[in-house]
Amino acid sequence: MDIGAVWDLIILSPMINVLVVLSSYLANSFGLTIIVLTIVIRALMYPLTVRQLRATKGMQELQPKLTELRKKYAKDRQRLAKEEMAMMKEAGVSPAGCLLPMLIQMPIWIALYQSIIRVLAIAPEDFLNLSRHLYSGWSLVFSQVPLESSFLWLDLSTPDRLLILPILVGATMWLQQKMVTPTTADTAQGAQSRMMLWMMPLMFTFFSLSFPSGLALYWVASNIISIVIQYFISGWGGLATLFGERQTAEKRK
Amino acid sequence: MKINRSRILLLLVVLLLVAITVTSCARTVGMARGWSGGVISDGTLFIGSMDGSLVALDVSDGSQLGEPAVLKAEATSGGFGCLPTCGTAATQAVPIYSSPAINSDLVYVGGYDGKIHAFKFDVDRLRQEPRWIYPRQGTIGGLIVGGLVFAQGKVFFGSSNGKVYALEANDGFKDWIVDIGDKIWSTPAIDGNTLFIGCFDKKLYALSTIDGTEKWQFETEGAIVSTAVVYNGIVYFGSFDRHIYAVSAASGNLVWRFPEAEEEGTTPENWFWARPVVHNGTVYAANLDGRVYVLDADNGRRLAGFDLESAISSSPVLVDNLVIVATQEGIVYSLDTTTNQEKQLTTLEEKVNAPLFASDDTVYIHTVEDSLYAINPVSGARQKFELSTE
Repeated sequence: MDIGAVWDLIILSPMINVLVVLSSYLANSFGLTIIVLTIVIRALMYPLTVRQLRATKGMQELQPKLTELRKKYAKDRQRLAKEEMAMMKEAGVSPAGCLLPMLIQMPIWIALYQSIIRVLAIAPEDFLNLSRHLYSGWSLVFSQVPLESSFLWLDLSTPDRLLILPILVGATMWLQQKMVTPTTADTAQGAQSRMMLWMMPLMFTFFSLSFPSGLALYWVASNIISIVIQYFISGWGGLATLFGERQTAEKRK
Repeated sequence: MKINRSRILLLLVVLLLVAITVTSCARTVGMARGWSGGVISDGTLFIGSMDGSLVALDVSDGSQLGEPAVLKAEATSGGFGCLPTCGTAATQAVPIYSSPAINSDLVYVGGYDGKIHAFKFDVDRLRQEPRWIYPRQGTIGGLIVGGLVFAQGKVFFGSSNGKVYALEANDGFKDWIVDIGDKIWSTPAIDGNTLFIGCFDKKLYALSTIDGTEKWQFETEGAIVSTAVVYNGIVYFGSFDRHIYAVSAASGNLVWRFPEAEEEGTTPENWFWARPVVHNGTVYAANLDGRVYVLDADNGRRLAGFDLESAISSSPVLVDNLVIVATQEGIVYSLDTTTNQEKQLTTLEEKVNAPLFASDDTVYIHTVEDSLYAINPVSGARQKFELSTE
């Protein structure tokens, strides 16, 4: 069995069938289906998300100490790496813990993209190939497709021409990023953090301009869920600083 | 080892970029290529190639007659916007799904960009001269997947914008347009003054060919992509609800539906995509489950079945008493309608989605590799012609 067949069997086909069946219980609204599916996926990934947020928070708390270490061992990179590792081990945090949930989400994004293309009958070949993914024991899925592509003002099979969804993708991603971006006294690191704070939202806004808006809807829903989870686990994070700065500025006025 | 979170995130972004680029532009998803069938007139075969050209071939030896007429559209995207086609050039080839239609001197072809082109083929100069384009400016606002039909001096077709069109065949002016509402990918079937066409809204529509007035509609439980066949006053078509329907052409009343009830082993397991063949009171309906269901045209009773073990999306064709079927995997069978025997004719080793067509005891099959095979339906002897000019 080649990797494509494994991908289809384990990820793509289940996602397509779940999407189709879910839509039949949600008034045939594919938009609602994407939102509900996002909630389900995020619920399944909740333990990983919590781990990621705690690891991120732990990393942020370690930042002052890591900055000190970098100054102390600025000329001995080997020693610096060793000390950093030891410090992180002692604190029980790992950079990998921050990235794992994102890495796990990547196949889901790709599968969702492929599913949207197929179930909305965007390209004839893909729609024809969809038949290979439908579970023959589930008669409902055969008559249910293609799914209804209109949702609110959107045609989920095409990018949002009004640009509302791409802006929402960028804004929600920025808010989410801002919450996890550490405030640091280190100028170089601060510049890198600021770059990342803008880079991801801009990139996903750009993607949303070109991809079917169904995928952008998934990103918006996913970002909002992330913001809510992050708030309950680690508070407003970097956003608190932003609000604080505004309040201070208002007081000055 | 220096742990730098920003660098790791940067790496992640690059990975994501690569993954999405591969997903969107690697010819796997969201990429329209086309699957046109062909039409033959006076020894010349016209077919839409995968590089977006209307190609004319001499059926006697398969040689190309003159330069193909290339359908071009303004490039709709760059970067990651790969729908409907990939490419960043100022113009790009238009995929052709729609089988061309022909009248005495004009060939009509519909592009996936939503334009209909009419060409006059100049036999002496071996040239396809453009005659008209519909619409003159822009597109119809919907992609054309179903085939074109020439009848009664008009060209009929449906579009993904949910509309059925009738154009004057000579000049391409609109005769009438009916807005059904949902995507239409099936080819119209004409019988007398009635046009029958299936729609994604799960209904088969009967429209007047004269003015497009709706005569009746018949609702199934699944989308209809299969082109209908009219035989002895009955309309036969398949649906995504995994049933074959027989409906009165005059009233739209159900005559029968197969299967009436789900039965183990005989119930179709996938969509009916291909156009059925009706011959000598028997319906041959190919399904994406790899089987051909042989049904009594009068009552829908199952008479026989052929399990060809690979999905069938291309419409079979009848040559004398043989129904020729090509599976998606490119295995070609003949089904003898007198003995109900199947015979494997040949293996093309190229995938097939396009509808089959035939002329003078030769069956033509257009593969996804853009080859055209001319196959003898009895012996399976074949010739291969390349259509792409690139």
